Amino acid sequence: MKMYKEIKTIQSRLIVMMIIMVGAAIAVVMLKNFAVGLLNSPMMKEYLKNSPYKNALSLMSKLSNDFSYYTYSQWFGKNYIQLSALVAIVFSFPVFSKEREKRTVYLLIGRMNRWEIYSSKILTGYLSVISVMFAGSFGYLLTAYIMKYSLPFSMMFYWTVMATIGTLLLYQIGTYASLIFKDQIKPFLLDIAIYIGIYVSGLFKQTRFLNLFGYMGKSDVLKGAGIAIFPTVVILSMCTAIFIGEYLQFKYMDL
Amino acid sequence: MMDVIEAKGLSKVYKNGVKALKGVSFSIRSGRIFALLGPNGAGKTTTLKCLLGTLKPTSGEILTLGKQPFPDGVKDASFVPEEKSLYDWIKVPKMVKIFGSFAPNFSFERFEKLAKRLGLTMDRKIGELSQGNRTKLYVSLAFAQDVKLYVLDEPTWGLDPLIRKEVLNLVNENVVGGKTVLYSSHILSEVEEVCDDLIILKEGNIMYNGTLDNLKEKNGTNLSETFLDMFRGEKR
Repeated sequence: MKMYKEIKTIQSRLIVMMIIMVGAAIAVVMLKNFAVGLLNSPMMKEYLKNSPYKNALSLMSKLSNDFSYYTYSQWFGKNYIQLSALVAIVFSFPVFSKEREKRTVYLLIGRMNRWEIYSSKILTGYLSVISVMFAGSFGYLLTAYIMKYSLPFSMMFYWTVMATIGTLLLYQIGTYASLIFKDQIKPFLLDIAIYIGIYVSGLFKQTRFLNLFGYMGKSDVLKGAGIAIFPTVVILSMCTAIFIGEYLQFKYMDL
Repeated sequence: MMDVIEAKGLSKVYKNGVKALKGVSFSIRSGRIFALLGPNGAGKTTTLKCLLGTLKPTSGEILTLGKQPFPDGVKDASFVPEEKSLYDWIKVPKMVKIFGSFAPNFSFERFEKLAKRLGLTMDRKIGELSQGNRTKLYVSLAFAQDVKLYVLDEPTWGLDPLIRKEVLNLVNENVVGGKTVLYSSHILSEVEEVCDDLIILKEGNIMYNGTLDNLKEKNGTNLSETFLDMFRGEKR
């Protein structure tokens, strides 16, 4: 597979995203004591006593004493998911639209057949997404071990796998947006609109099943659950369907 | 001599309804320099893109080196498009390495000789290159591929007269070596200098299809005058 060109094209974005992801992971672990100290301050305790949320105090105590809960609430259920959306958008929106907008696609076409062009682009993006997501997880885990916090490996692994699979779907949707527009702005805006739609769908009971972010940061893992099989299969099937449909569209489109 | 390209009743209507080609038929024999001429909007670039498989013809048939070019293109052809767009943020040597990683039959040694011959500036980012240097780079990359067909759209754009002459020599040398060149340019004097056969397009139709010698003989003047007369409507 002729991936050298794609790797060179994506290289700087990959390095930047890797630094952001690993840096954020390290920061979340290192700031644990600081965050917990703030929450345990007398002023905050007084405030929480009067809070309308009945279990606010018990949650604060859990956050202080249970590192797995802290990990979920501050990283795998929050910042990691938000960063994964950024990862998907950064890697996907220029994939085809940039080549078409800048007219560099004529350098490729003919010298590679359409399958070679398509597969090298999409699979390089897949590998980049997986690398950044796993770097974020292992960066977090390693820092936690160095700081002597206890975090079950299996828990981290389940969250990582589900978040990565969800990000791959977001990436695949993003590349489709990149294919249908000839400039780079529209796919970028469409990606953002899709993310907002996914987030909003999680707010209503009737559309909650569409909330991909809920799957990516599943709280059941805290209670000992593993990878959610059914949604995983559905999401992977959607990825495959978009991958095939997108290829057929790319194969027969005028360039 | 076999036909390298054969187009029969080739038509292309774009989604916006523009009829770029209206049933053109022609063939290109191997080992020749074939020019494609016409004013802006005549259908030259559409023809080239159909021949290379980047556009799907609305109707008609094309065979490029014996195969239908759409959708996968033709690996035994090398294309220099009108817009010499490359990856602006990459330095020239890196661009060459990247190109060599996917372009069939690419020779780094051949590229170095061509770059030297055309006086290409190497130690710069592509975005910092002048139009002339971009053309030199694209032409050097294209000719560093050892393929049967070279398709050149405005291959001397932005070049000074000396380098322009070198590019024309390069075109001639490749044809002597058994290759075929399809050449499109607005500079009629240079087309006249190199081409054997030509077609002249106007609004998607062929105005002339034959050898350069026949055209000049028929009109008793040079290509530039003949071309201008054809479009002014003074002579047919």
